[in-house]
Amino acid sequence: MSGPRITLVILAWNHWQLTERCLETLAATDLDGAEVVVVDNGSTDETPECLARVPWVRVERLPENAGFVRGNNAGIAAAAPGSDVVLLNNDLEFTQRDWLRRLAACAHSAPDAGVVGCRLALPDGRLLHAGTYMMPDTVWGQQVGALERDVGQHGGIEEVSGIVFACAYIRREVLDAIGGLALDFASYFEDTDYCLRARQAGWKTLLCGEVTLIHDEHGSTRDEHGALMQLFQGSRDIFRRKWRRELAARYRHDLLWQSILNFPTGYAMSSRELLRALDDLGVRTVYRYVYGPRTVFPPVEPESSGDYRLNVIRGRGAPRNPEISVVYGQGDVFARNRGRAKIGFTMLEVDGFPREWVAQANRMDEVWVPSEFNRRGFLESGLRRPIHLVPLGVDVRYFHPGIVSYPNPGGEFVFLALFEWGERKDPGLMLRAFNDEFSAREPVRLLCKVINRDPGVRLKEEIRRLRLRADGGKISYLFNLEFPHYQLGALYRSADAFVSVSRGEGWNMPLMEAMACGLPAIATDWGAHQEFVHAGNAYPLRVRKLVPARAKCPYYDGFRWADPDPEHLRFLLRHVYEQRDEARARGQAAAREMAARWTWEAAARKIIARLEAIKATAAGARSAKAAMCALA
Amino acid sequence: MSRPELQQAQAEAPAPLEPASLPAATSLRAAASPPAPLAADKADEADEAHEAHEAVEAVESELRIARLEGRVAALEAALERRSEELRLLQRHLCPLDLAQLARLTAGLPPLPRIACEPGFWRETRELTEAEVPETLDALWSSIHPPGPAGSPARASAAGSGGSAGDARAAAARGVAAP
Repeated sequence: MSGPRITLVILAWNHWQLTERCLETLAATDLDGAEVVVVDNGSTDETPECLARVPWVRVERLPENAGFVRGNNAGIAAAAPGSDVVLLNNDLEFTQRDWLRRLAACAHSAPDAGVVGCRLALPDGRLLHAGTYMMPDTVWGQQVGALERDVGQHGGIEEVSGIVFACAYIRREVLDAIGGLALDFASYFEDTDYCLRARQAGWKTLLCGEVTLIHDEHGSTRDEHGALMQLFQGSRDIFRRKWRRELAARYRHDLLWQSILNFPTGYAMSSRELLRALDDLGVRTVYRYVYGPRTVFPPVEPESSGDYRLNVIRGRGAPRNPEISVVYGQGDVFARNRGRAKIGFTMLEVDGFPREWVAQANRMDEVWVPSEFNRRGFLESGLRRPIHLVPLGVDVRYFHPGIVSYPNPGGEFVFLALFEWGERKDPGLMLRAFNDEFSAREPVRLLCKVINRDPGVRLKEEIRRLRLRADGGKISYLFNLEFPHYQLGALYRSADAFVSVSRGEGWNMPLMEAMACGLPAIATDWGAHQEFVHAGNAYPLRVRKLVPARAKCPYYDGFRWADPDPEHLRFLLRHVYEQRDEARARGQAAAREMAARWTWEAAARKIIARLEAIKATAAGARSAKAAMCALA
Repeated sequence: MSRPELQQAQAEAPAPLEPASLPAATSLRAAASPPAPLAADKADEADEAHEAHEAVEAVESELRIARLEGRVAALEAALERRSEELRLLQRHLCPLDLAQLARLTAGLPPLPRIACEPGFWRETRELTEAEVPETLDALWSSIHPPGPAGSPARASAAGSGGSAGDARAAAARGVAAP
């Protein structure tokens, strides 16, 4: 073997059938000469006798159950000198032949990679673990991706706060530097503790998403629920005392975030992503609902977001006099900003901003918009405050070309469009162009995921009025369905191309997600999404001219938006359908670009840069004032 | 659902029973049998037998016509009843339920419960929670409806590599990207 020397340590305590399955499935994988040590943690069933009949494992028998930590440490001590160690639970099942090779490659992919975990899935196929995180507020470890359906999310290599030690690859250098698991813990929290200790010593913890193992969680302790809870609580208390201050210290900035979180809107969705990314990067955010009375939204927001981290952030007490506050939402709620330094963060789909928005924006210390398109529009509408670009992003752990697809078994080429029915998305233009360009005999279909929440719109009637030809291009609809956001990548991946025909966009999240999934996209060449769409990664749709923005939305009054060219749309639809290799290459370029430039992490870093600049300015002003006072 | 499918459902409905009032053909034949010939001129006997045979055939033919007319009348009545039932269903059922009914009565498996054509929609402003894998499976199945039980799924489009059944099985599992 040319790679590192490796010892696998499997901890077993009774439940021989689990150990047996673990060993049987392990034996069918490529172990590349790795030594296998089974630590029998004082089993009282047939485990000792049965292990004696497995010639290819070395057994370390402990006289009694020493617990998870001491048991694993016994295995580490028994490992071949100088070898890396992989700690494994005996309730694992190995279904991936090259799992060890991939973990080892990941562990040695960077000099500071120290501890590596993998994706763990339940026997029913749901994802159980893709890393862990812990909020200092509650000191309760949470598993990333837990209980989501496995659609291929977290399929790459990423740095994480921690991993569960059901499977943990630990490099020898880390063992030499910090030793084995901490004896403060009998079981639970020892894994997070280890990752934190490794981080203190300069080693990163990575998730190797290329490896998935089946974990029949708590298989060996399933009959011991009471004892398990006791262990858990005891370890949690110890962990809290040991790490709470350290965990809290990772926050370097405080920020009041006034926005929307728990309603199905674009602002809410992006708000959630930004809060998570900011938390990851050390910004302690406090969240408050900015809408309510005298707005179009309900007075109170639903309490739960369905996300532990966001619920913790939402539950934090708001400071009385926050240093910096961001209002992220429509510009007519900027006035609700409660910070000493006030930031208004907004976007709009037309070529200017309403007078009321500009008036409120002019009372902010600075204004953020995601695109140059909006920056220009704000300035032309009379904004006099500093304005900065803070882009939005895409979660490339959930939107990437490796996500599972459910392709059309008929073999048709599928164009996908996601939109809310309304004037801005100009659905008639897209449906007519597709229906006119193709014939029903051609193996191509337009799939529209349509939402209509407008009581004044009768969608069936609207579509009937388009008089689409029965012998024209075939169109199917998914009507008013709400998918879990984490599954949307599978919807994009099940199509061959994406179409976004709209008159104007404030950002266009679905387009960005589709592009991150590697779909060639046709998109109107006008609007905020020009920030990330160009002829090298998509198919920009020509605009004939700008026309008055006529829609039910009052914010658009007096402004203009695009009039996309239907003939060019037909040309592009046909082109993408026929030039598939070229289209595929363009989709791949889009996926690469989204992953490299347009992540939520990148967006959060821009925000942090602004926070630091604001603080520096404030500190400078304070020093200048102090100097003036001293002179006086 | 298409109109031909409805018609197919009607045509494949069980045939009505024959009217009970018609006598059995065998008994009529027995009643009309000519009497046994006595000692007489053989030619006359042959003529008489021929005439008797013709008479029997005429009676039998009339009876067959009467029986067929009765059967037509019964079918017309059944058709009228069935049409009335269908008109009633059409008035009170949504198009998707109607399509399902027609498919089921025609011996075809039901369509997946997904409305991917506007004609099947119930106009609503409410959002319905759904899962992507099941929704897409149902969508593709509704576009390529399953045939009778056991037969492979129909693929409506050209250019499909492999059987549609294989592809659907793959789709049901989800296909991991290479």
